[in-house]
Amino acid sequence: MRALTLLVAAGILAGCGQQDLSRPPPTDRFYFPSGLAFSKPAGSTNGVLYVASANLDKRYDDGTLLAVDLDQVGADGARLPPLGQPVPATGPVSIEALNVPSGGAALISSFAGEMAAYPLPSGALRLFVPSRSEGNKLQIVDATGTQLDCAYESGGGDPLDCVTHAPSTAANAANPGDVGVPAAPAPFGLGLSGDGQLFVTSIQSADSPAGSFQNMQAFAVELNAASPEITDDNFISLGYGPTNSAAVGQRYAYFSGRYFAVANTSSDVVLRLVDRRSKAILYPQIEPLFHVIEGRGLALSADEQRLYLLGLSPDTLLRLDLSAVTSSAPQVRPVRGIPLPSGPMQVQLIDRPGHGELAVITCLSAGTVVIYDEDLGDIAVAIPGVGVQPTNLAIQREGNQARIFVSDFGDGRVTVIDVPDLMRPQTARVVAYLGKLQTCLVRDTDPSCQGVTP
Amino acid sequence: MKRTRLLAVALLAGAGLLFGSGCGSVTTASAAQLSGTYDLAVVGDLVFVTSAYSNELRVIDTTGTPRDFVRAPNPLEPLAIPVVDQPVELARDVRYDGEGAEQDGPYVYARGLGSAEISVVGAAPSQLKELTRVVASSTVTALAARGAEDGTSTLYFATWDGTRGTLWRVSLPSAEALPTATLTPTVIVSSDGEAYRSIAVMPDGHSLALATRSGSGTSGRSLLLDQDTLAIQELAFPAPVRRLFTHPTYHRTKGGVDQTLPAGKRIFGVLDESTCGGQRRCRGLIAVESSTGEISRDDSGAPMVPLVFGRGLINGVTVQPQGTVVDPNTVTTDNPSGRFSFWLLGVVTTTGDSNVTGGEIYFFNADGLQQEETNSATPAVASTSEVDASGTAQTPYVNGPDPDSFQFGDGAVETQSLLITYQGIIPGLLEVASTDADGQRFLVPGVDLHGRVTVGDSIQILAPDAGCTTELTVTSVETDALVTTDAIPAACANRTGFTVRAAGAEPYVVEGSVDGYLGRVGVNEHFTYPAPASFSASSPSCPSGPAYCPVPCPPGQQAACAPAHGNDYSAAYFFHTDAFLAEVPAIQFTFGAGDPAIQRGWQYVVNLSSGYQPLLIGVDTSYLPAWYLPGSVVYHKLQKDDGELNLIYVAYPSAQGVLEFNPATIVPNSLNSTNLVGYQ
Repeated sequence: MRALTLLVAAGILAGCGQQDLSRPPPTDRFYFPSGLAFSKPAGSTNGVLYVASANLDKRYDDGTLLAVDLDQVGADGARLPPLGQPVPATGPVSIEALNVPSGGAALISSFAGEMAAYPLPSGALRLFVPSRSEGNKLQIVDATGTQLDCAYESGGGDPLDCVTHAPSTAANAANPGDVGVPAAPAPFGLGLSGDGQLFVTSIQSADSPAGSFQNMQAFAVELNAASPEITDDNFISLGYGPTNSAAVGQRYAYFSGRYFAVANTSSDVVLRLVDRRSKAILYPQIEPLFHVIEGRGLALSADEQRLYLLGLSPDTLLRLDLSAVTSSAPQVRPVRGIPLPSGPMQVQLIDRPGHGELAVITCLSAGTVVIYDEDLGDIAVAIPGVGVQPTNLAIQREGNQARIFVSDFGDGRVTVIDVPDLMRPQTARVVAYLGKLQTCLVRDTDPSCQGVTP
Repeated sequence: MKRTRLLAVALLAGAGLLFGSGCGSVTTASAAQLSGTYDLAVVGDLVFVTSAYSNELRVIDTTGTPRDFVRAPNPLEPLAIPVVDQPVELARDVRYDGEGAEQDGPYVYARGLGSAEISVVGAAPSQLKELTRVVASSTVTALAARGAEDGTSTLYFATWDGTRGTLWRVSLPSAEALPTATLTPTVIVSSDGEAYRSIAVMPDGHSLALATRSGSGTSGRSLLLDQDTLAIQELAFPAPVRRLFTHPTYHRTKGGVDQTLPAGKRIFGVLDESTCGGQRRCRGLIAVESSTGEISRDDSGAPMVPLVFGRGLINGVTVQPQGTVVDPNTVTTDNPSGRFSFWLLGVVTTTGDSNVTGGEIYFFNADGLQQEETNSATPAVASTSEVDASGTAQTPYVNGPDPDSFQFGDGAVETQSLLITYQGIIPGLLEVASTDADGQRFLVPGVDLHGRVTVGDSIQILAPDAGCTTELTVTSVETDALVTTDAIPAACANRTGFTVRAAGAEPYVVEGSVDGYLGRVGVNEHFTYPAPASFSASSPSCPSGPAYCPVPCPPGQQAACAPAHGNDYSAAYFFHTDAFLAEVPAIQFTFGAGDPAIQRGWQYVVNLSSGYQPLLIGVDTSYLPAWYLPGSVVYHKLQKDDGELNLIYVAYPSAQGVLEFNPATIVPNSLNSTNLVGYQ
C-alpha cells in the first residue's frame, strides 16, 4: 500500500507483531528536488511553487509532488519576502517550514525529472512529471492552488497516489510487462508547445525484441496536454541516441541528445528536429561544427529565431540561429559558444521586449546559476550562494522583475533568486532558501539528514 | 586537389617519450589536473593557462627539460595561482619598444565568467601569484593592458551594467608596490546600449582599438579611440567584430624590395557570427588599415576578403613575425622538410569543419592577408549525371549542361554539387505560410524575389483538402508578394501555405549544395553567376556600406551592392589568386537542349572540385579522443643555446588540457597524433 504520511507516523508497528515496512516519503521537506513549476493564483502574493522530489537513493517508497504556498512558508516574522525586497543584512532567509497543507502532497514515482505546467480551461494547472524509475511513469496532476488531484484514477489506498495508475512511457500494449518498442524508457525531459502538445524525452533507448539489447532505438512521446493518453500512436521514433530535453516551435520539436558515439556526420544527435506534421527527423549537424559530445537543456526564443543549447565536454552554451522554421528545410547555425561553469543542466529564457532575452542556466557540478544576456552576448552574472547541485528552474515574471526558483538536488532545498531589474541581470541575488538543508544527500557522513530516516 | 577530408597520418613513434599503446599518442607532462582550459597568455618563457573550474591559473615553463608545469613551493606539486572565480579570459601587458617589437610587462590579468573582478597576477618567475584584484562596478566584458618600461602598467577594461557599456583605465604601480596600492579606475568613455567586447592596445601608446555590440546583438561598431583626445576613427569592418588584435613590427621582401611594416599598421578583426545568423557576411577574419580604417588590400591588390576557416567558428587566433611552419608549397630539394618562415604567420583554431574529428588549426599568410593555398589545381567539373526525382541515375546523360563549357572564377567556387532541377522549388519559397485573407496575393516578406521568381512560375497551394492540386500561374511579381489572376479553386480554401516552382522560359533552378541558390536557366542558354567580389564597406563606391559589393559597384548605388541573387553572398570570392580579376564570374556554363523526357524534379548533378586546400592540421582523435575542440592559441619563440625553437600552444577545453605543437614537425593537411606534448 502506498501512503503519504508525515514523518512522525513513520516507523510505527502495524499490530500483531508485524512490522510495517512501508517507508512513506516526507511531506515536510524536499528530498532530491528536481522538477519545478510556479503559478500565481488570484489573491496570492508570492504564488505557489510545485516541487517534485526525486527520492534518488530510494530512502522512501516514492517521490513526492508538493504544492508549497509561498505566502505560508516559514513562520510569522520569517516568511518569504515579496519579490524585489532587498536582501536583509543577515543574508538570505532560510525557511525550513514548508507548511504544505492537506491535499497539497501527491505521490509520484522516484527519479522524477523535469516538470511542465499546462493551464486548463477550468483555471487549474495540469502538471506533468516523468519519472525514470520502475514503470517509467508520466505522472499527471491537476493543481488548483495548493490542492492536488491525480488526473486519472488514484491508487486505491490514497487519493493522492498518482503513481499506480499513471500512464507509462514504456509499456508495451502487445506485451504487458515487457518493454520492446515503441517505448521511451527513463522519461526525463518535457517540452510543451503553445498549442498544448507535450513532448516527453527519454534518456534510454528501447530494444527489440524486448530484453535483447538489439536494434536499439530512441523514442519520444507526444501527447495532448488537455486529454493525455499514451498509446503506440503517441511514440515518435528518433533513430539512434536517446534524448535529454525538448523545446517546441510552430512546426518543429527540438531535441537535445545524450551521448551517442558517432561514426559519421549523418547521425549526430546533439540536436535533432522532428517535423510535427510528418514526424520526419532532421539532423542539423551541430556536432561537426561545434564539437560538444552531448546535449542537455534546451530553450527556444519566443520568435523562434534563436535556440539555446547546453552542451557538455566542453561545457558550453551554444547559441544557434534559426531560420525558415516553418518550411520543410529549416536552417540551424551555431553562431556562438560561451564557456559555462561545469555541469550545465537546464536553461530557461526570460523575454525582454525591445531587448535580447536572458537565459538562466543551472550548472550542477559547479553549484552555480549563471545568466546569459543576449544584448551582451555573454554571461552577465554568475550568482553566488546557490545550493548544492542546482538542477531545474521555474521562473516567476512580474513586469520588469523576475523571481527564479532553483531546485538544489544535492542539498534538498529550493533556492530563491530575485532579479529586481531585468534590464540589469547583474542585480540578481539569492534572497531565500526553501526547505530543510540536507547536505547529507551528497555527503555520506553529513549529519544533516538525521531524523529523516523513517 | 579538391578540398578533402584530412587523412589520418599516424607516424610510428620514434621518440622515447610516448605513452600509450597506439601508434600515435601524446607526450604528457606531469599532471596538474587542469579543468576549464579556456585561455592562454605568454609572458617571457612562461605560458599561463586558465583552470577555470578550480578558480586558478597554472603555468608552463617552456625552458625546462622536459618542459613542464612550474612547480609549487612543495615541488612535488605543480604551482596553482588562485584567482577570481571561473577565469575564462586572460590578458597580458603589451609594450612596443623602439623597434616596434612586443615586450612583456609585469602582469597577467584574469577576468571571471560573469564577474566584476579582475585578478592581477605577477607574471615574473619570482612572483607568480595574485597581487591584487580590481573590483569593477559591474560585469567585466573585455580587458587589455599596456606595460611601461619602468615596470608599471595601465589596465584597460570594459564593463556592462545591463544597459550601458563603459571603458575604464586604471594605473598599476610596479609589482613590489601593487599589493598595498589603492587602485582608482577612471572612465574613458561610456555608451548607452552598447557593450565593449574587445580591446586591443595599439603601439602608438595612446590609442585603443575597440569593438562593440549593440541592438540586441544585431549590430556593433569597431573603432580606434585616442584615449587622450577621445577622437574616434571608425574601422570599416564589414560586420560587427567580436575580437580585435594587431601585430608588432615585421619585415618583408616584396618585389625584391625590403620593407618594414610598422607595428599596428593593420588591425585584424574576427567577425561576430551571431550578428547576422551565421551567414557569410558576418563570418571570418579580416583586416583594416589603422591609418584609414579601410579594409586592407591583400597580395592580389584587391580589398581583402574575409578569411573563412571551414564551417565552424573561429575559436582562437594569433599572429607571429617570422613564424615557421611546415608548408608543402616550400618543399624543394634544398628544403625537403618544407619548413618555411612567413613574414607574418597567422594561426587560427576552429570549432569544427563538417566532420566528426573536431576543430582544426589553420595557418595563414597574415602579411599577404591570404590563406596559404597548398593546391595548384583550379576549379573543375569532377563528374556530371542526370537523376530522376528519386535520385536514380538516368543513362545516358541527355542534353544538360555542357561539361566542357564550364568556366570558374578560381577562388570563388567551393567543392560542392551543382544541382540543376527541372521545375525545381524556388529556394526560400517552400511551404511559405499563407491564408485565404491574402486573396490573390501570396506574401513572401523577407525574401528577395528579384530574379528569383518570374511571371509564368507555378504556385502550389497547401490546403487541408487533398483535392487542392491545381497549380496557379504567377502573373506579376511585387517586392514582397507574388500575384496570380488565376481563379483559386474552391478545394484550396482554408489554405495554410504555398510553394513556388520554376516554369516558363527558365524552368531550371540552379543551386549549389554549399552556396545555395544561384539562379535560373533555360534550354540553350548561357548561365552566368557573377560573384560578389569584395567587401567595400564605406568605400567611395559603396558609401553606405557595409555591404558585399559586386565590382565595380555603381557609385552611390547601395542597392546595387546587394548580392546579385539576394542569396547571402553565394559564390563570392573567398580566396584571391595572383591572377584574380573581379570581373570573372564565379560560374559559367552553357545549358543544352534539355532532355525531351525530363520530368518535374529531375536533376542534372554537376560535381565541382574547388582545387583549393588551405594549410591546416587536425588532431587524430582516433588516438587522442578528447582533443577535438581547440580554443585559445599562442605562438612562442623559445631562445635556446642551440638556436630558436618555435612552439605553438593550443588550449583544448574538450580535453581539459593544453597541447604543444612544434610547427616545424607537424604533418600539414593531415590529422596529427605524434610529436605533440599534452599538459593536463
